Amino acid sequence: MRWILVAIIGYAGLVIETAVFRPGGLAVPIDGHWTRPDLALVVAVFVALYFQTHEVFIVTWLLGLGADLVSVSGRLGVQALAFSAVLTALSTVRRSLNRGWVLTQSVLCFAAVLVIHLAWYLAARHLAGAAPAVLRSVEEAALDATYSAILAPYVFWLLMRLRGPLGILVEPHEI
Amino acid sequence: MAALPVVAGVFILLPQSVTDQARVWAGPAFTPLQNLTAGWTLDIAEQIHDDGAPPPTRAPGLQNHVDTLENALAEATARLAEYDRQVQDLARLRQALDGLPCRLVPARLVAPEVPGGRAGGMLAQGFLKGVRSGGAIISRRLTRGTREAIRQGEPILTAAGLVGLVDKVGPLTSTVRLLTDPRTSLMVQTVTRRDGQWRPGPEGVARGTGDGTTITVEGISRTSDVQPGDFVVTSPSPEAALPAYLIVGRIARCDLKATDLFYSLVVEPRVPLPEAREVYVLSPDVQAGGQ
Repeated sequence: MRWILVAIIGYAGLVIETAVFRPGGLAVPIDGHWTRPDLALVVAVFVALYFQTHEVFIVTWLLGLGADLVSVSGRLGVQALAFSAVLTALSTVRRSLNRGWVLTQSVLCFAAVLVIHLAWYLAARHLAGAAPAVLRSVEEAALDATYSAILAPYVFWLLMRLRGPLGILVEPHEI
Repeated sequence: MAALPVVAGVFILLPQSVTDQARVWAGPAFTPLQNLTAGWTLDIAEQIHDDGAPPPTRAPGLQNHVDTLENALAEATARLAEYDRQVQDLARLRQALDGLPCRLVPARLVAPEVPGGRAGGMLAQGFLKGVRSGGAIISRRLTRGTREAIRQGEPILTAAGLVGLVDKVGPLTSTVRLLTDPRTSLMVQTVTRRDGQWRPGPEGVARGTGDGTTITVEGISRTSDVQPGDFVVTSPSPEAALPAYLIVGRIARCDLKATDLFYSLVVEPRVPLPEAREVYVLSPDVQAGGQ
């Protein structure tokens, strides 16, 4: 039941991301880049903060693979590898973080999206034979990270409403 | 769990085509809400999605259109050439008739309606319809009748010469007695060309032989200057029923026995009678008080 719910939440995040946050929708054009949040990564950050480490690895790998499938560029496996690597590392230090703070949630999502999207854009450009355009990749990743960080508290709030079915144990101050 | 990074690495090493194919395969699973937000999209790919409307019918290609126009042009050119020929024929006929008050009714000769030629029981019907033994056709059907004010006995001709006479007239069609029909009898005159000059010759009577190809002219004195190749035309005599100088044919043979007083001229019609198709009926012009 728990894993089915996690799969449904991850799937819903990807569907909403592709259906709503698209050019002409809620995606925002900034400096030639259609900025949109990475809802699948925000859900993955939530999983990294509240699930066991070994569970985080598998779930984030699968969420990353889903993100690869809905992407229009790059190779399969890049985001799956990045999701699992970055978020597993995050889950090892979650006990030192105040997971209930909105600031923590936003900063962590910003950092995760920045790192993973930067890696993704650089890899996509490299694999496509284009110039790395590091600064451009950083700019694009930062824009995505900012948009994700803005929405992260709201996503976390919704997911916390499902903490019971998800089997998440939280401290009273984290609710 | 340790295998997952390896699997991810394998995915990364796969060719881009495999990755793209996987995205195409999995894409519909992650885009169930495409139609709901289709109005927002600026993606060109989504804009050309099939929204249920039937695909527009393709207009004929330019090459098909060009081919159609070329065919139409060829057909129109052929028709125009045919019309030009008819106009020239009419002009020659008018010139030949030399101001004779008449009208030329265009018509077409069709084959006689003979239901088969070899069955014994049909021979009589064929005979009655103008078909002789050996397949000689001496009678044809004309696509004109009383509706066009055609009358019995009126000559039928082409620019090349006389073809026959109107026999029985119906409301829409008529029968034609060709020159080769034994019932056809015309007053004719020979026209000779000697030393580069045309001279009128003696007059006689032309009758069809019944073989479908020749006419016999009788009454030409054996002392007359006639030879094969001379022309035979309708007689200008007032007793003649037809307008004068309509070309009947050319003399093919001058038969004369030692004891005969007159030639038996074998004349071939100027117009190949079995093959005549487009003809004109020479009808008197009533308003002009014609002949």
